[in-house]
Order: sequence, then C-alpha cells, then structure tokens
Amino acid sequence: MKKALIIVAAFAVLIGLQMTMRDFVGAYNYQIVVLVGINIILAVSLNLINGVTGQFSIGHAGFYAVGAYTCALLVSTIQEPFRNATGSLPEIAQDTLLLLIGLAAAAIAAGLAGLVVGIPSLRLKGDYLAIVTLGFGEIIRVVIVNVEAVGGSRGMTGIPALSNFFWVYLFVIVTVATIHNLVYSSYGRAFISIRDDETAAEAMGVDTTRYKVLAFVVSSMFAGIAGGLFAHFTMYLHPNSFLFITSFYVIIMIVVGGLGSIPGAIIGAVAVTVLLEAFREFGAFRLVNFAIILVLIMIFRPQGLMGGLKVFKPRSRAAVTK
Amino acid sequence: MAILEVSHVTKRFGGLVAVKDLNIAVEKGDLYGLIGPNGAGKTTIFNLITGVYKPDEGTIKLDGVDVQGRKASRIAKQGISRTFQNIRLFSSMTVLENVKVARHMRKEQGLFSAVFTSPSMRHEEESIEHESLELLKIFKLDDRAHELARNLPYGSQRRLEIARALATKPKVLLLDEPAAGMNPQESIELMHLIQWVRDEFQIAILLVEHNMKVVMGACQKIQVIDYGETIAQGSPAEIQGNPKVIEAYLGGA
Repeated sequence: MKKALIIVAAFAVLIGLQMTMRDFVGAYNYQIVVLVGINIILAVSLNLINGVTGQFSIGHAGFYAVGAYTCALLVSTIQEPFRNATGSLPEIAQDTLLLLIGLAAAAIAAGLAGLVVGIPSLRLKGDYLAIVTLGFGEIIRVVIVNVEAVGGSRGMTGIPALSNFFWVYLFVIVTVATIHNLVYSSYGRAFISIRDDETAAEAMGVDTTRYKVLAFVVSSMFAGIAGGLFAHFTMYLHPNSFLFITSFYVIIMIVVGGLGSIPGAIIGAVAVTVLLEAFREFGAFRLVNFAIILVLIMIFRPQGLMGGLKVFKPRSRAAVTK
Repeated sequence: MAILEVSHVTKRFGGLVAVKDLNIAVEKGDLYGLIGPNGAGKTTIFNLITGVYKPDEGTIKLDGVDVQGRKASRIAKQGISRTFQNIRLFSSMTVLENVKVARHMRKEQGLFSAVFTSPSMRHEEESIEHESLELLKIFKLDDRAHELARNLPYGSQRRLEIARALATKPKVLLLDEPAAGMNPQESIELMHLIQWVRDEFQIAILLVEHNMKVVMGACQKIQVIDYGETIAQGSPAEIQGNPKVIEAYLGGA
C-alpha cells in the first residue's frame, strides 16, 4: 500500500517536472539535468562492479555504446512499420512502446556483451581485468566507426526523440532501486565478500567467478539502458561520445563519491557532470581543473565524499520484517 | 566408513614435492590432529582438501564422493569448511554479516526476489539473521554483532572465523592453527570450545596446530607430517613417545 503510494507520487513528480522544468530552467540547463541523470545510471551501475564487487573495469563506455547503438538502430528500423501497424494508438503510446522495446533490446545486447567479456576475463584479477575491459571498450568503438549501417565515423543521425527528463529519471529510480536492493540482499553480501577476500569467499561457498560475472552483466545492462536513453535524447550518436575518456569520467564519479557507496555514486555523477559544464569556459584547461579537484580529494578525503560510511545500513530485525 | 578420506595424494610445486603419497582417514565425530614442523606441508594439505590447490595424484573423498579437483566453492557446498592460518575475515562487514555470507550458498530465494524484496525473501533474511545470531551467541560474539569484523580483538576474530565456518553447515571442519597467537588461558578455552563444537554439531574436525597442549589435550588421533610425508600416526601418548617424531621436531643425531 505504502509502496504503491510512493510509486504514484514519484510518477506525479516526474511528470510534473517534465512539463514545467524546461520552461523554468531553460533548454541548456534542462539538457544538463538530463545528462546528470544518464551519468547517475552509469555511475551507480559501474559502482556495482568497481565499488561493491571490487573488480576494476574501465570499459563502461563500451557497454554504454552497445546499448546506445542497439537501441537507436532497432528503433529507427522498426519505427515505420511499427507506427503503421499500431495506427490506432495515440502517438505518445507509440513513442512509449518504441522506447521501451529499444531499451529492452539495449539492456539485453549490453548484458550479452557483458557476459561474453565477463566469462573469460573475470577469471583474471586486478590489472588484467582492467586491460581486457579497456580493450573491449576500444574494440566496440572501432567496430562502430567501421559499420556503415550506423553511420560509421560520420555518426548516426535521424534518431527519433523519444527520451526526455521523465524517462531518464524513471530509469534512474529503477537503477538505484534495483542495485540498492541487490546490494543489501544476500547477493550483495556475496559481492562484498569477493571484494574483501576472494579466497575466503570461495571457501565459504561463494562461487566467485559466477558472482563476478553476475555483477558484470547486471551493471552492463544498466549501462546499455543509459545508452538507449542517451541516443533518443540527443538524437545523434557519434563514436567519439564513447571514447575511453567517457569510461574514465564514470570512474572519477564513483571515486569522488566513494567506491561502494550508492549515494556517493549519485553525488559523484552530479558533481562531475555539473563541473564539466561549469569548467567549459576554461577551454583547454578544463581538465586541469579536474586534476586539481582529484588531487585535493585524494589528499583530504581519499575514501571519497561518501566513502568510509557503512556499506551496509545497520538493519534492525524490525526493519527486515517491516 | 571415513567421512573424509584422503588417499595417496601427491602435490608438486615445480620440482618440490610438497605432499607425498598422503593418506588421512577422518571418521565422523573425530577430533583429528595434524602436526609437524614448520614447512611440513600441513597448510598445503588443507588447501588440497578445500580445493584451493588441485592434487597431482590421488583422491579425496567426502562421504564417499570424490571432491578432488573441484572448485573450492563446490567443495564448501558439499560440506567441507575451514578457517585460515592468517585470519581471513570480510573486514568491511560486521560480525553478523560475516556469518551471514556463509549462509548465502544455502539460500533458496533467487535473484529476482532479492531485487523485488519479496516477502519470502524477507522471511528468509529474517531466519538467516536469527540463526546467525544464535551461532554468534555460542561463540560469545552476539554482543558485538554489529561491529566491523576488523575491529574485534584477535582472539574474537579467531572465534568468529570458526563461527563463520560452522555457518556453512559442514560435515568436516578444518581448523588451521586456531590457537595461534592466543595466551594459555585462551588456548584452553578454545580447546574446550572445539570439543564442544564437535559434540554439539556432530561433525568431524581436522586440526592443524603448533600448540602441543591444545593438540594433545583435544585430539584422540594425531598424524605427524614431515616433508610432506606421514612419519607417525596414533594416540597422543603414542606420538609423544615416537622417536621419529622427536627427531623431526628436535633434530636427529
């Protein structure tokens, strides 16, 4: 009952903001708000691998790209026949269905990519996994550059505008809720046990390879969804949006916020996205500012803004039973 | 029939034969001591039994089922649990959560009920919490259940490791130097605790220990290893009088 009320309230707030925000804050700020949302999905999902499970992946942009291009290509292809076949429906219903189909495909494609990359590479530890994921991210980008069907290096145009503030933040809520529930469940304890001590985790019956792959696949799926939302918001995709630097920004977000902390990942995503925009006037020195901020954080709060706060909220028995 | 049967197991690391043609037979209810000088291969034997290493030759049977060469997590699921010589707790978790991790592999609720926090999942979480607290009570750790494991004093960390291992509901429990770093008083308490655990949980316990007081006091059967080979086997009294054992420990003439 209480849950249903919260969901209704969340929808009402999202729809209300969707209808008023753009006029209120202007198109430029609106765009930043939406990008913040997309980055929150990326950061919170990467945090599941890098923060909670303790594996070092630096190829998140690869899964983001797989999702973005899968969603855009599928929706652009099926759009015409789909709209003809469902001519009786109002346009907004058609848009919604198209977007949801595209996002589902994006999640599945990115999840499969995560599975394919994860199964062999998650047997590796530390640096090696980082190298494999870095390579994967670059391979995806090079493939995209060479596939004419998605515009190659010219970029992909004519993607329908289906995504907006409402959809992005709806999926922010879905992502945060899913990953939060996962982390605070028995699965979360298995993930954290791998981060804390892999040998001990294995000895306690946690199949470490399996759970690392699971974390990787779940994380990739959400990166894929973020990609789909991005594609249908900007209406244009270019391989340069998925450079290594994109993966790197996401890592900065979770490191600044505090590895392992979900609120930290959210705060990190907001801070980094907003600062990247705020520093635009510095031109070439934009990234220098970032380096300074990172150095300051490493000196004064090396565990990240929200790091060091308990990974698990202490849950009394009353709270579990509710 | 022996619950844990190690037969003709050999393990080589390059040219070094760490364990050579080793046989161990642990019966249900045994408190079985494995002793030997430093570097004799005791911890390697534990790692072979628990699947950290794969034996080059020989078989390891748990309850009549071959387990050698399986993944450590599979072996844990089949009923062999262990503690570590250098304590390996999950340091960022609380005491209670450490024990709960060991329950993960026995849970019934799937991924989706975790994501949607279904009532059955919440019910299961509740029973895991209840059982884990009961276990902590036995080891007198329940009053610190919500503290981080790494903040416990050393002796308590050792006890927590045993509690965590028991939470997997093992048939055979392997304790790797549980009394290491404990004072005589703590060692004696630990010895009684180990005996009590064996009786209460009806399991076999295989113990590696340097503290002779603990081994001689707690175990009925002792096997002495040197350079990866068995040099003596028998009751504490037999071992204490065995010239080979004395030679291995004190050096021969």
